[in-house]
Amino acid sequence: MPDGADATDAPLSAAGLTWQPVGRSAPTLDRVDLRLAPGERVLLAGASGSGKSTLLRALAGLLDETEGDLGGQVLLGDDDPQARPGAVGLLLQDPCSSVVAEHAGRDVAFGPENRAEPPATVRARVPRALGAVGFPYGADRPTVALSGGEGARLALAGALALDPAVLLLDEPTAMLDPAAAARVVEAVLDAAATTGATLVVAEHQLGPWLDVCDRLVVLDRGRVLADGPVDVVLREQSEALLAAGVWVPGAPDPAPLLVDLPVREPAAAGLRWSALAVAAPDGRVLLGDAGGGLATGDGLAVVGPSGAGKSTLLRVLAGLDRPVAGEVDVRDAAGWTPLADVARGSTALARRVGWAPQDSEAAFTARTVLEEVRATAAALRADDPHADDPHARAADEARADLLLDALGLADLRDESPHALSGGEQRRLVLAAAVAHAPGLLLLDEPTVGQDRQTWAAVAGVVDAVRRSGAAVVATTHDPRLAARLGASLVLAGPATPAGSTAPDQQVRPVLEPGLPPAGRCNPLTLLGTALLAAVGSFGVDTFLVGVLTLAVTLLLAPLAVRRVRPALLRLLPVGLAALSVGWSTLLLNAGGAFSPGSGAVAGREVVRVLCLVVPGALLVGLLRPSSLVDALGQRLHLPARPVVAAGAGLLRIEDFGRSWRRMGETRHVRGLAPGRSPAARVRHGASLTLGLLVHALRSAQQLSVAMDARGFAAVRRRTYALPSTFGGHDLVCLAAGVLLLVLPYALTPLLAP
Amino acid sequence: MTSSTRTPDATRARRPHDRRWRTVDLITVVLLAVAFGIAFVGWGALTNVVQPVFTALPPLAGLVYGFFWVPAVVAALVVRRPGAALLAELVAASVEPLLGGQWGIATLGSGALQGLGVELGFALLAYRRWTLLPAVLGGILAGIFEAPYEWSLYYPEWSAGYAGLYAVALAVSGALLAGLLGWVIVRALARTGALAPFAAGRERLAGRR
Repeated sequence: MPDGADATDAPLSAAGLTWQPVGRSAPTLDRVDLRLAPGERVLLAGASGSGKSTLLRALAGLLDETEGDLGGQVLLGDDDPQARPGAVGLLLQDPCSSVVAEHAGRDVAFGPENRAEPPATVRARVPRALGAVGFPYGADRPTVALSGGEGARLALAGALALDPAVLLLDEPTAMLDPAAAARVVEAVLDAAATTGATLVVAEHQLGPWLDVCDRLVVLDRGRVLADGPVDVVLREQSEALLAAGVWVPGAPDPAPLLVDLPVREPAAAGLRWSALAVAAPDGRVLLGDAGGGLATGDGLAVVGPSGAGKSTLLRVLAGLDRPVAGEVDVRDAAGWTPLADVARGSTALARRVGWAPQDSEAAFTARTVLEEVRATAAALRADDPHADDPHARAADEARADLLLDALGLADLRDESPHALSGGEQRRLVLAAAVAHAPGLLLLDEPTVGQDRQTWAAVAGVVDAVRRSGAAVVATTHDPRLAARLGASLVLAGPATPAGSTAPDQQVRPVLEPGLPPAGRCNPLTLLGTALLAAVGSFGVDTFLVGVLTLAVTLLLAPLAVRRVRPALLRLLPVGLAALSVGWSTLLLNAGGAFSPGSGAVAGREVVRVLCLVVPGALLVGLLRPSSLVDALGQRLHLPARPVVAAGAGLLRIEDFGRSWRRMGETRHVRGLAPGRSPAARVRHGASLTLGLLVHALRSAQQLSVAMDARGFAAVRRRTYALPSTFGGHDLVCLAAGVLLLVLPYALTPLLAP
Repeated sequence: MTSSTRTPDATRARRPHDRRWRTVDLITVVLLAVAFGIAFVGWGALTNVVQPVFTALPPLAGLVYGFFWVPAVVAALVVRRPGAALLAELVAASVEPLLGGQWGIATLGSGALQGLGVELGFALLAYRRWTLLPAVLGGILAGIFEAPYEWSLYYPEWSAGYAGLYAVALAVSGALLAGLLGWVIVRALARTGALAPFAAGRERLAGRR
């Protein structure tokens, strides 16, 4: 991007950079000195917790001084790196956590909008940036539909739209399969070549980046351990790198830790399936008519590209999703049982199956690490009076301690599970799935984010579980783990998008297919119409007037809803609420309960409340976060920062709903589903609520860093890539609103006796 | 102890921006509110258990509604800024109709009133105390603000006694299920380490209970 050339010849330097978060006894960064020449390409390596992510945030100028003590300084040329918002682009590990818009184009436009560039300029930047990263879809691609690799490229485009002098990337390929990783590396390389931007890539796995980068910086406990040309550092510091847990290319695989788990009793374990067909979320059939099985001590790696449905298959084997066709049976000492029978009961399922899902934070159920690992075993003992003796308890606790020790979590036993780092959390989820000795262990990407040492621990536990007589199924991109498991099941990926025809990457208003006419309206029109109808409902003073107004409302409903079922789903709770109002009126009216005439009053109240609520309940389903933000910001001139923040929040409703469901599912598989008692249900609800709130806080911390990296912190005045317009549809919709406003008042004298 | 957690950066901030909203404050308020919006749906199933009681004496339903303004209390206690309670409650009230709530967009009015009520609780103590006291006070005020809105929208035919009982139920519920519960939730969140960017989380890390 030629117009950013001014900043690209300034070096980025850190001098004596020190960072100690509040409450930590040791600094996360300890007197780091670095000078990055313009255009340099630096690979930043180090074990988990060595300070890589923190250093990237510091280099972007985004460490918050209220959160810790910051020493030394970071300069881009002679300025603070944030002096020109976006001059230092920062890409976070999970690209989904950075998304701010429903559609790809608007997401890219976010940074330029924050810099208050004229809308035409903003719109011109989007196709350039999307083109630069080889984004395979149009600007109207929904961001929720992107895979991890596509999301990473979208995030890169979002940074490029601000003409960065420096690009900082935090483990951009850690979660990706090799093909998707290669496409991301290529996009980064292209971007660096065309813009001349300085590049800093933090990674555990050096392999994919060796040919791209010319300098290797190694961090160890917040200090620079080694710094120099890639080949020199690899040659001279190989021992130190291996000791720090770095995955040095060409080094032999670490030897799995020897973990001594006692042999399972009852020993028989296994899994078999026949004529099995499993559907991916997109409807593709992953396994058609497959048969197979696992016996005691067997391992199976489920491999294949991202989006191939590996996690989906695992969910079917965990009894959470039903297969399209076919049977799955699990085996225990009593023989084979259909999985579907077992899966209904939480403790029955937990006795046979252990499941370590990918989303660690959604899997936590307890207040401390130790309680987390002991939870399922305790629930199973409580469920079976014969097993609840001190010996069983001691054996369970010894096993939990052994696992915590092996996985390097013993010192953290009293911490909250949520307070752990990502890699530690993943190991804790593994420990919690293994601790009650299920006969079948299902692991979703167990080695992601592990350095050499912790990988050895995870692999050691998997080996030990198999030696103890259980069977293990693991989805993985990790060839080392797949090799250790022996057998592999390869799933084919989804068809790659037809990228032949050039997609339309211009930012335009997006009209979803299948929207009813009111879907084209401005959000303010929708809200205004609902308000007009609500005011009108106060004119309903007889049952008949109410019924007629409601009939007109329902006649107008096809403007706002296209299909009957979803509309009824929306109206069902409204109907119940109206009935409850009617009942309470019958009971509590001034004349006394069930007094003469109170029936008529109650009936009128029911239809009046329906007239009040129904229009809004139907219209609100058409609101979309981005257009709502456009309208509130441009038409009502509400302050930009809270409005844009609220829009980014509303975008996450579905994600949060999914987290809520996942937390319930994990508890079910782990034998921790609530019983019938109200107290257990309240505890369950409280635990889920707390989990979701923690998820919200974590998401907020990620998202706010990502937004500030794209200039949101500095926003005073802001522009919007698209105008918030009104048209013919809005007139029709408002006319309907006015009709519902005046109708009750007009009907009253007409119908008066 | 409180003063030591204030960094030089915060103290030298320009006066009108003394309580400047960082991006993380804004986004945290919004996402907490969205999370509560989702949780409300889950909690709705729980309240069915006590439904028979409400059917017999509807004003008592007010005793559980305080939970609906707990987002305002939690947001205020976490980010400690004027306006946090109102913003949180407005967002939470927008999530509910989007998910198909029973009162449609009428919840937006409730959200504004409840948010203002909680906000007033903290404002009465000059936005200087972020403790149980303003939380409970705000919870009560929100209940008192909410009552006349619901009388006029849903229950204009109730006799004055029952309407009064309903207002009392809302205020009691606001004190307990919004004020007290919100305060408990924030303490539980601080334990998880997820409040690190906020004074509410750092006070615990610094060893203060």
